[in-house]
Amino acid sequence: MAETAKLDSFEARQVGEIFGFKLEDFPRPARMKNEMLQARQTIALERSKLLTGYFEKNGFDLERPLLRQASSLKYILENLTPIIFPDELIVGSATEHRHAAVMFPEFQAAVIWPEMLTLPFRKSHPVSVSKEAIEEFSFRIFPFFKDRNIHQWGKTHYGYPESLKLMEKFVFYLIAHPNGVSHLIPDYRIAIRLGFNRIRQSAREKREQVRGNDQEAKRKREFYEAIELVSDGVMALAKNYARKCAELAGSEPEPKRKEELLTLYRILQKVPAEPAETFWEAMESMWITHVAVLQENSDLAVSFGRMDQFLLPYFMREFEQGKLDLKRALELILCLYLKTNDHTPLVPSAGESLFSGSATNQSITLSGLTPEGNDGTNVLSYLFLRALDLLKLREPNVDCRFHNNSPELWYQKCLGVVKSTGAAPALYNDEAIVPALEAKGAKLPDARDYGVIGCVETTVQGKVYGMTGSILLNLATVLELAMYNGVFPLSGQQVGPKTGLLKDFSSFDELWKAFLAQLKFLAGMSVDCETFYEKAHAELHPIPLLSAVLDGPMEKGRDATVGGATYNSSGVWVVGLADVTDSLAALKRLVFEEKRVSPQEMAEALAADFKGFEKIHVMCGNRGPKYGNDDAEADEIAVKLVQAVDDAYKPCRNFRGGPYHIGYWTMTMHTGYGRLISALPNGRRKGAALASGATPVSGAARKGPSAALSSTAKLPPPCLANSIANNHKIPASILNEPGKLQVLEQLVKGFFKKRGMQVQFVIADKSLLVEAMNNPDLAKDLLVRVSGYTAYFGDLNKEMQQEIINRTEDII
Amino acid sequence: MAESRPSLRKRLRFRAVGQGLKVLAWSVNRARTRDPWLSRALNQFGGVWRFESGDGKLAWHLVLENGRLTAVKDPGRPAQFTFTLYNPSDISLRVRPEHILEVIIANKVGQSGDLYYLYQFGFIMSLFRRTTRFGGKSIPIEGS
Repeated sequence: MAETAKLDSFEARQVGEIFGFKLEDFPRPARMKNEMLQARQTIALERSKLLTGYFEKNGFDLERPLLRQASSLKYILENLTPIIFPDELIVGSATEHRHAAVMFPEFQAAVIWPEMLTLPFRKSHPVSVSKEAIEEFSFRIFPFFKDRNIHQWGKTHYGYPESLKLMEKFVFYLIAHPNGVSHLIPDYRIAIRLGFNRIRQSAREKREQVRGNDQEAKRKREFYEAIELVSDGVMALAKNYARKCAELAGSEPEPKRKEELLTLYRILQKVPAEPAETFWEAMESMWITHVAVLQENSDLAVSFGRMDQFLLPYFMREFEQGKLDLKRALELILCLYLKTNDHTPLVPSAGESLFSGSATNQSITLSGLTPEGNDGTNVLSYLFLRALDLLKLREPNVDCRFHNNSPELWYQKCLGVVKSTGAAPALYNDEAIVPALEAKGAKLPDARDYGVIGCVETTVQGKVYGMTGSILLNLATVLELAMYNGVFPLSGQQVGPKTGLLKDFSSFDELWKAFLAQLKFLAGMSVDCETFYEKAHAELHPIPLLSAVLDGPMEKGRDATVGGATYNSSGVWVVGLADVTDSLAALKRLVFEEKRVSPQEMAEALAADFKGFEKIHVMCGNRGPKYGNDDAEADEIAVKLVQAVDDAYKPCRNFRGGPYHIGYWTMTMHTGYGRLISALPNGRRKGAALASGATPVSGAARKGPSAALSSTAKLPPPCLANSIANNHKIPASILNEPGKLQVLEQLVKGFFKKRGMQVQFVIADKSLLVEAMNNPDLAKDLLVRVSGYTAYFGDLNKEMQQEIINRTEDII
Repeated sequence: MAESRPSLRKRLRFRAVGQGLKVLAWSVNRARTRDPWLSRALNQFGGVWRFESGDGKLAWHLVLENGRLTAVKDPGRPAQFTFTLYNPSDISLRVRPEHILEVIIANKVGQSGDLYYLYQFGFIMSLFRRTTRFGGKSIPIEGS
C-alpha cells in the first residue's frame, strides 16, 4: 500500500510537471503549428506520377498482382523526393507539399476530375492545384487507370450486380472500398521492434521453406517475395531521408539544428531497417513506416493504436537513465502530432455535404486495460494527452480509455483537456467494449488490447484487417422502404421487396415485419456489394506492405486482402438510429395502440411533409415516446433495433470469412443523408438532419443528460462491436463554474458504470457557435466534435454547423 | 402485348433535351479553338453518353469520336455511361460540372455505367465552361 502511495505520488508529480508546460515552452512546435494552419491544401502529384510511370515502363502484370503491386510500391518508395521542412524533429512527408492530398488513381481519385479547374476557387475548402498536375492527371494518369481503377475493374471482371447499381444511388448504403484500404490499425510494433531487415529476412526464410509447386505454394512464394520487395522499398525511403538530413546538415549554419539533422541522419541510417532502441528512434521508425504505408493505402483512418503502451519501454529506458526528460519527450510528441497533419483527404463539392471538415482521422489510443487485465495508464498517457491539449489540432484523433480501476487522476486530466479543447479526447469504456469484441470472437487478451480507429471504431490493435468503415447503412431508408412498399419516396423507384404500405398495416407487428424484410434486403445487398469490391481489391490491389505490419499474414503466407490477418471483420456504420427509434415508437403508440391517428392519415401527413397536418405533426413531436429520456418504451425499441441490425448481418460472412461488426457513428452523414429523407413519423420534416451517431434526436431528450446517457447505456454492447458516437454538448460557461467539472466526471462515471460504451463532447456556448457561423476567423480554429471525428467549426458545411448548434445542451 | 408509346408531352420534352444536346455539342466543338486543353481532350478522349427518359424508351446520345462531339438520336446505341432523366428539367446547361455528382446523389438523375466516363464528361464540360462567359472562376486558359 505504501509502495502504491509512493508511486502515485511520484506519478502525480510527473503529471503535475507535464501539465505545467505551456505551448510557449516549445517555440519550435508552436511555429510549426502556425505554418501548418496557414498552409493551403494542395493536390499531390508525385506518387501518382511515379506509379503511372512505373506501369507505363514495366507493364501492368495481370498474372502476378502481388509482385506487380510490390514492385511498383518499391519504385515509388525509392524515388519519392525526401522533403524535410525547417525545424522538424520527426521527418518523412506523405506528399511533396506541406499539406496535401495523396491521390490514388487506382481507387477513386478521378472523382475530383470535373472540379480540377475550379478547386482553387471553391468557397468551401479551396485546394491548390498546379497546371502540371491538372495536365498530368487529365491526359495521362486518369486515362491510364481508366480500366485499372477498382470500380471499373470489378465491373469488367464480375459484371454489374444489382447491389452495385443500388450503391450507386448513394442513399441506401455506401461501401468504402472504392476509396481504398483504410480504417485499421497496423501493428507498427513489428517495424519498431524487428526492423525491416529482419522482416525481409524472415520473409525470405519462409519463402525458401515453401514446398511444392501447386497454385497455393506459388502464391505463398509470391507473397513472401512481395514482402521482401516492399521491405527494400521502406528501407530505401529511410536511407533517402537520411541522405537528405546529411545534405541539409552540411549547409546548416545554426549549430544546434546541424546537430539535430546529424542525429536524424544517424537515426534514419538505422531505423526502420533495424530495431529501434531510443524513444526518438521508435517514433521515427513508426512514422517513416506510416508514410510508406500511406503510399500503398489511402489514408482514411489508418490509425496508430496504443502508442502510450508500445512506446513506453523506449521512453522508460532513457528516462530512467536520465537521457530523456519529460520536456524533450513532449516536444517529440508535439512534432509527431504535427506530422500527422501533413495530409488530408480531398473531397469533391458533392461530398462536402457528406464528409465536410473531416481530416484523415488517424487515431491514437491512450490508457485502458493491458492484455493481462491491469491498468495501463502511464506517464506517456499523460504526455500524449497534454500534447493534444497544447496543440488543439483536429489531427490526430486522440481517444482515451477507461475501466473500473482507472486512476482518478486520469479522469480528471482527460476531462480537463475535454474542457480545454472543447472537443477532444473522446472517452471509451473498456467494461463495454471488451465484452463487445469478445462477443464477435476476439480472445480476451486481444479484446483488452483494442485501439480506436478513425472516428470511434474499436478493434484489436495490429491484428485485424478490419475495414471498420466498410459499409455505411442508412437506417432511415429502411423505414421509408417499409412504409412505402419498397419504393424510395424521393425517386419514386421500386427498390426493396413489396412489403405493403403504411396505410394498409393494421398492427405494429405488420410494420415491424416489413421493416425487418427491408433491413434484410439492404443488409444482403450491402454485403454482396462489399464482397464485389473485396474480390476486386484482392486481385487489383493486394497490400504486401500493410500485410507485413499486421499480425497474421506473415505466418499464413497470405495477403491481408485474402484473409491473412488474425481477425478479418468488416465494419458497418449505421445512420439514423434515434430518428428511426422515435418514428417506430410514435407509430406504435399513436397509430397502432392509442389509434389517435389512422395509418392512412399518418401516411398522408408524411407524404405532405406535415403541411396541412399540423395537429399530427405536433402529436408526433410531443406525444410519441422519445429515445434519450430513460423511457422504457422508446429505449426498448432502440434495443430491438440494434439487435435487429446485428441479427441482419450475423449470418453473413465477408469475402475474407470474417463477421460484421455493427456501430452507430455517422461522421456528417446524418446531415447529408437527412437531405434525402422524407418526413418521418417522429415529426422530423423532409430534408432535416437526422440525429448523429447513437445520440438522441436534438431536442428530444428533455429529462437532462443523465436520462439521455441512461437510454444510450441500455444499448447492448455485443450489438455495438463497431462502437458508437455518443455526442453531448455542454455550454462552456456552465463548465467554467466551480465544481462543474466534477459533476461532469460523476456523469461520465455513472454512464460507464451502467456499461455505456462511449461519450464525446462539444464544449461551447451556443452564442459562440452562432457567432462563429458568421465569422470565419473565429470559426477556423474552433474545435468541435462532429459524429466521431474532431473538426474545425469553420470547415463544416452550414447544415452541419447548424446541427451542432441545435444539439441538445446538457445543463449539468 | 405491344409496349405503350410515350405520351406526346413526354416526347416533346425529350425532343427539347435533344435540341439542348445538339446546341451543346456544336458549342463545344466551336470552343476548342479557344482552349488548347479542350482541343486536346476532344482529340484524345472518346465516349458515348446516353441521356434517356425515366422509362428508358426515349434516348439521345452524345458521341465523342474522331475529335468531334455530336448529339444523335439512336436508342439502340451502346453507351459507356447513362443518365436517366426522371424529370428532364432537373439537368440543364445551368448544372455546373462540379455539381454533376450532387445531382446524382440527390437521386434526381439516375446513372449507370463506367464512372470514368462520368468524370471525363465532367472535365470536358468544365473545360468548355471556362471558354464561356458563364465559366465563373476557373484556372485560366494557358496564355489568356
